[in-house]
Amino acid sequence: MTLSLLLLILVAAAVTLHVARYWRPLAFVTSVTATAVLLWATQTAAGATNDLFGMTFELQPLARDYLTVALALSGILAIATSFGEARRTLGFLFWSWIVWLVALTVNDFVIGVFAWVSGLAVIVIAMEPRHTQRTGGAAYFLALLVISAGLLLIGHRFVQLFPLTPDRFELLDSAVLFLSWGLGLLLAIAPFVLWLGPMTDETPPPIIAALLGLGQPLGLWLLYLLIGQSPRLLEQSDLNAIMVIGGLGSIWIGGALCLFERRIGRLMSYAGLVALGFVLIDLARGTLEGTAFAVIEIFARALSLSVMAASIVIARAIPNRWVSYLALGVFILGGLNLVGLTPGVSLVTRWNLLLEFEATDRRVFFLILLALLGVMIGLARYVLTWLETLPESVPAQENLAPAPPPESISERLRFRLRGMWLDWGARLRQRIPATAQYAARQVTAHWRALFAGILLCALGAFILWYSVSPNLWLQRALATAAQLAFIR
Amino acid sequence: MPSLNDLARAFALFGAYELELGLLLAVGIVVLVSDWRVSLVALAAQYVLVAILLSTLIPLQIAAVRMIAGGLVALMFYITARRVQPARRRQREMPSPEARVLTPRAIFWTNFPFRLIGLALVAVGVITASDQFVLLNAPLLFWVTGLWLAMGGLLTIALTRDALKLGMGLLFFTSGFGIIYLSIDNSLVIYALLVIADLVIALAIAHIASAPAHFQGRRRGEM
Repeated sequence: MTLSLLLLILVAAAVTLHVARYWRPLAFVTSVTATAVLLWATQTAAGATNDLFGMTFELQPLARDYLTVALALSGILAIATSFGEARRTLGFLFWSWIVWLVALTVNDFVIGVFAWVSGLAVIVIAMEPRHTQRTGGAAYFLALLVISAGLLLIGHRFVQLFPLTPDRFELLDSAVLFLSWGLGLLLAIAPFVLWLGPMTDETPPPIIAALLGLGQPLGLWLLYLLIGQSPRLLEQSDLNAIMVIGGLGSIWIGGALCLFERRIGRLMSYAGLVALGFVLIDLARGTLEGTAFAVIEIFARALSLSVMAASIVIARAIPNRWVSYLALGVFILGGLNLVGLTPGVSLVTRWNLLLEFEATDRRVFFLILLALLGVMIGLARYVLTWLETLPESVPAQENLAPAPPPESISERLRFRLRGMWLDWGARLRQRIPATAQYAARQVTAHWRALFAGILLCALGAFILWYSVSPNLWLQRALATAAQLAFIR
Repeated sequence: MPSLNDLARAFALFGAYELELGLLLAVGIVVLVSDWRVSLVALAAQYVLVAILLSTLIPLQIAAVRMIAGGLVALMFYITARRVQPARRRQREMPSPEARVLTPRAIFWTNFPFRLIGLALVAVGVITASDQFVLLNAPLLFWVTGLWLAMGGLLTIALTRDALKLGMGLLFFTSGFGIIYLSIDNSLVIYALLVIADLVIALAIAHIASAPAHFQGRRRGEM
């Protein structure tokens, strides 16, 4: 399958979901189908290069893996959203991927930045301003997108000019300055975290997960695309040191903010900021292992945020006690994975870094542990709030009183025909065993709770399986990261 | 029907002095005046003046595209403002507590003298910065103009509490950035992408300005 066909399928999926959102069963079926089709399309998409207007588009192995994971998580978020009453944001979980696919495959930094920022701007439309006619987090996020895109483009121009005058190293320094500002703003790296809270106040949890967990890492992809084209950007500048400082700052600030936060949007974003700090530090090592660990961290962050968002959306949509308990359990698993406390791959990558700090600088080590403790406390407080608001058992709905027979002839005829249909159906059902009849009735009445339960169980099982199979993920990450241009 | 040559002749009437004065006034109006109609006129005028300025860097036909995009942006903002403003008037007339909560207090966070001082400081900052530092040897006219528009836009973004006004500030910023970037890299791809970006920004701002508020009495995200 060619990239253009994959793009067309993405457009079709987004349009179909956007239209199907009005009727809940259709939205659910469409979400499941669209996710399956997109995953199949991504897996069968050819890795060959395509030329268009002098630009090259190629789906590299790591990009394909990322796309597969991202579309699967977007699909899970869409399925979870389809259970709820408010399904306005359903299509937006896929709209952005149309342009993000361009950002992921193009070999041109400028086009990549425009595509990435356009995808983020599309997400702004999915946000819900809290006050009429006032600038809030959504509007300021849009302003930020424009400003940081400008900074990234100027930084790229400096990189472009450097080979013409290779003795002028100040060009590289200026490039790093502008690129750090631009990326720092968009990734909300410390100290540019101010926009994160107001933005998440106006954003539904699935959109937060899509924006932070799936959209933000594309910025790092573009940065390393640029480094692959101009390796001196990494060799002859302080980019790695800036990333370490930004990463440490993000971990500490994110942990401290989590400690005092009870709003789930802000809590998710600050906890995600802590995980992003680890990604940056892993990347700053500049080795294959560091990059592979960063890839795993990015995946773990996206998975955790998506799982947390999906469980919250399901718990809000379905007022069923056991579904709420299941959602709570999955939320805790997602939170633990985000902190890096689930045994397995998360723990390995996180502790690998922590032990390195323990050996070099104990103060940093303990401060990082304190930040992780802050995230844990924030999540625990939220879980306690959740437990307090769990719904009581809903009593079975009583049968409604029979309606009086209609008076007009057409209505009577319809009434008679319906009676015959029901009678025929009842006689047919008598042949079916009583237990199967009961099960069918329960499924019809509680299909949302049933499918939501299945989804939550699958998510929980996946996190556990993912955690206990570290070698599988690490080998895959090492194999795909080794093919990146800057590593080569 | 006026041809492209007529447009070129009309553009030739504007010298650097007139352009600078026009853009100075446009930024001043957007920062200082609260009325959306006057600000919208200033935004449209800014697009025309920037197109004239850019026609010295890129072919006239291509520079005129920015003018057309500006017209579309102004139209989008006009329709949005017309939709939003009557609702605002009705809310002011409604005595209910919810309407009072939802009614915006003013377009700007600060009063007129504060904005005037802010604008003067920005002007001084632009003059000083352009005197001491030039980005990648950009021509002075483009550097000063671009910096002035970008900084004026940022000032508007910082001072306003109205989404439409913020959008105007954002579009002033993109215009300024476009001038600076095109003066250091004469790339038509960037130019085209900036024009598209203006339209996307206008669309998003129109959505934000006209979206119904979700005022639930509790903070979003709480169970």
